[in-house]
Amino acid sequence: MIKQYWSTLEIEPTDDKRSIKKAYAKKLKFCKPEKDPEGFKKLREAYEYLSNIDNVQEYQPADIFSYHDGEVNFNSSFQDEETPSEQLIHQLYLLAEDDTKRKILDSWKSILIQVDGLDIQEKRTVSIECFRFLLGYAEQIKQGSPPGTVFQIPRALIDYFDNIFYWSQDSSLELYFEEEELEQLITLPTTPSLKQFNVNTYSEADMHTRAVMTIIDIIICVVPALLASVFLSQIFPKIPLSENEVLVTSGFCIYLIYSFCFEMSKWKGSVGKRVANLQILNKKGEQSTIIELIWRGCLKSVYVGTAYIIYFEYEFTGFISGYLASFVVFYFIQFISPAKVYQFK
Amino acid sequence: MALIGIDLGTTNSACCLWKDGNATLIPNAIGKLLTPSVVSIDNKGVVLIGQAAKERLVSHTELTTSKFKRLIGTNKKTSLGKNSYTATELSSLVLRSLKQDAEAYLNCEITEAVISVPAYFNDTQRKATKLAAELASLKVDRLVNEPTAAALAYGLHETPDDARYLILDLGGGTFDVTILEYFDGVMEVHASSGDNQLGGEDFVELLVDDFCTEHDIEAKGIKASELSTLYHQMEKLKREVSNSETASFSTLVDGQTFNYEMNNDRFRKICEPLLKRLSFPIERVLMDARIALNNIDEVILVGGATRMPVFHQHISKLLKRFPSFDLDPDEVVTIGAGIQAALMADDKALDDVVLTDVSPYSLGIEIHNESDTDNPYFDPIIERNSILPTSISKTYTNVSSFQRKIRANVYQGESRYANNNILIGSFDVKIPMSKANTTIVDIRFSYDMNGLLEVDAYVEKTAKRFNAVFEQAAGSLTEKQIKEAVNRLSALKIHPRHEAENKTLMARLERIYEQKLGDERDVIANLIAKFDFVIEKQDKQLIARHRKELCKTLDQVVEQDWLL
Repeated sequence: MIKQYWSTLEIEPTDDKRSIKKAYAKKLKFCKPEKDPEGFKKLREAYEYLSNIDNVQEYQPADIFSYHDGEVNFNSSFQDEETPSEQLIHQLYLLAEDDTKRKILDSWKSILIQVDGLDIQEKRTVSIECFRFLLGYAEQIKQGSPPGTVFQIPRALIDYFDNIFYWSQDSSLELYFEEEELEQLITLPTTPSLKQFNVNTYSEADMHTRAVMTIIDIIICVVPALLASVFLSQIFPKIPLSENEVLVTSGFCIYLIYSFCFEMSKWKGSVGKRVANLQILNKKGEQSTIIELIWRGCLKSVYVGTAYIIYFEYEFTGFISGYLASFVVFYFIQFISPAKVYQFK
Repeated sequence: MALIGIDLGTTNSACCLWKDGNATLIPNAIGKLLTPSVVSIDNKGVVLIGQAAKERLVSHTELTTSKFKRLIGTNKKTSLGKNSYTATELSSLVLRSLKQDAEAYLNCEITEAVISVPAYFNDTQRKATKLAAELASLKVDRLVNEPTAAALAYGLHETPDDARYLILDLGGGTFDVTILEYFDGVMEVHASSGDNQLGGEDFVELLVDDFCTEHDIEAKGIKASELSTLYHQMEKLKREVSNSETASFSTLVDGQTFNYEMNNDRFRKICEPLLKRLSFPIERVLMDARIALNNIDEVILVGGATRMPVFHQHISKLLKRFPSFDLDPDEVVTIGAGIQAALMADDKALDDVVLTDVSPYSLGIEIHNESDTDNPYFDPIIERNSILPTSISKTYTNVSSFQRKIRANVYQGESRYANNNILIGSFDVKIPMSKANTTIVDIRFSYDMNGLLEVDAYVEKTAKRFNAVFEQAAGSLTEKQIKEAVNRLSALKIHPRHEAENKTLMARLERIYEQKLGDERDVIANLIAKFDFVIEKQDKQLIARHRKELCKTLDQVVEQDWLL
């Protein structure tokens, strides 16, 4: 593989970065990225691989960025040669130890004023270290507070730091700290203002709309139900059920089939639901699968069945108790149902 | 046939042609190199573009609009008189005017162009820019990133060997940062970053806010024409603080005169939030390019707003060195765009120059975990600052059993959470029903040098391929809509080029009339009447002579410091 790379660059293997670069530049004239994208990709791959083989000095990242796991211990004595940024952090840790001084905002200010003299890379390091420091300091204060109380860093101090380092606008802090850690000290930046369109936003539909829309569906089902019951009593004249019972049963069956078909369709809900912009989706917010819908139908039958049985058992008084019982079952079912009704805005 | 380079800016636009080994800026109808990106409509419904329109910002506020580049790629409409237009349509008017200037200058038809866009423009904004060109019947051969264009201009200007540049481009509406290395005729962009919503105009905005708080005025309550005078004077003040230590002006709001004075320190204090935001992109490119600050050979400033001394001081302090601007910061990008056009046209003189560019932001899709559906993660496929062109694929599987399709939401940005990034489109991939995590989908992102993205999805089980068409993206239109827009725009009457000088001068007179009071106003009214009289005579030579005299009078007597 490596051999191939060398031949792509058309040079003898070497560890001189400069000549690799020269060879790359020379070859590049023949496969410019816009004229020969494929050739360019190959050349680039070879160049990148070869110039990174042993990662010689040239592209060493600036050492000030390699801080990730550098725990700064505030009791340890620092080396004699401290950079200005190290000094600054050191002073902060010392101040945190000083019980009287640390309560005065000005003593913090007198240290942080040095930030002004730093260049952009030093400032970056100091910003991250200061954030780390404040997290530690918050913990220290929490630990040190008398039992039963929780002390916190004064908001003014955090704001002062924030004013200097602009943490609340700095999205790159995400690279160094966990979200929970960030939230301890700052309010995270809000979504960028350029977000141009919203994904459909939806919430669970309220009971009131659902009830009203179900009535529409029931009305739609009444006519076919009447026809079906007449039809049924014609074919099976000896059916051991009263006229009402036939009507209700066939009506309910039609309602089940009707809603199932519509829920499977693009509308993701029956006609009534469509009117109020309601949709039946599964827990992932996608269209429900057949199995989920069958399961939903079964659960529906359970509570309608409960109401129906109680009603016919107890005649008139059953109307109220049947209503109540079905209501209880309905709520219970809400928890185990695989699909839910959502309202879109 | 010629290929021109166009810089379509927030405040000013310009175009440039590479001829005989040199980049030449093309003057517009009134002989200026920069054309303000301002569009206005006069009482008869005829469109004015450029300087004439800019003058009308004060005198005919409702009929004039500027800074529309900040809205490009959105569906927001700006109303001008009876009709309203999208930023794309307005930009196309400016492009059309530039095109006509170039055609008049070169005496041939121009159909193709290279247009520069801020490096940090997203996919939607890039597409909208392309569309704007299409509406002006220009084919865009390449969208070049503004800092890259600037680098091209500098690279050819200085012909260094083995040098690294940090290029800071603060324009009217955007801030871009790029690190570029130059070796053996290769210009390699190492990293680009930026802030889409930070530019010179924001500084003016802050000053206006400060003016309002100082005098306890509600900005919303100020009359449009007075507000625009205020902005105009603030803009001037912003530049004056640059030259002398203090600057001041007095303006009329609601019949009352208000004074405003500004010195350097106070200016810095007011603009501190903006100055602080400047550091983030700079930090990021240094980090991404893995180059330490001391290894940067030169810091180059581009864009008119970099002239502000406040900016200078701040940057010098942050970077511990003095930035250089040998080339005019207003023209560098245009020149670069012209050079890029020559590169595209295979100009012999530029045979040895190769430019490689990077993607300034990460591109990827939204992914779900079984547990976490509320705040989905963002999974980058093309990492930011990957070299272009590039095409990378990653494999994904279905989250749940019996899933019928996978929705690929394509995002641009750096946040771990998809919702904090910018959605640039989405498409559905149909998959066969199967158990969770068993259907494998290959998603491939291809990103070309124009910064345009193509997404492919390949489902192994069905061996079907899906190509992303970002229909949802705001600002993108269907064929029919484009046709409608073309018709609508071609129905617009635009002032003919040869009248531009008269129109500009008249607009200028009207603006001065609005701004002055009392006796001075009468003098201007006289001048307007006289000028009108001369135009009526239709004697070209007489008009030209009169115009010249009038300009001189205005420059010397009425306002010495009216820039451009």
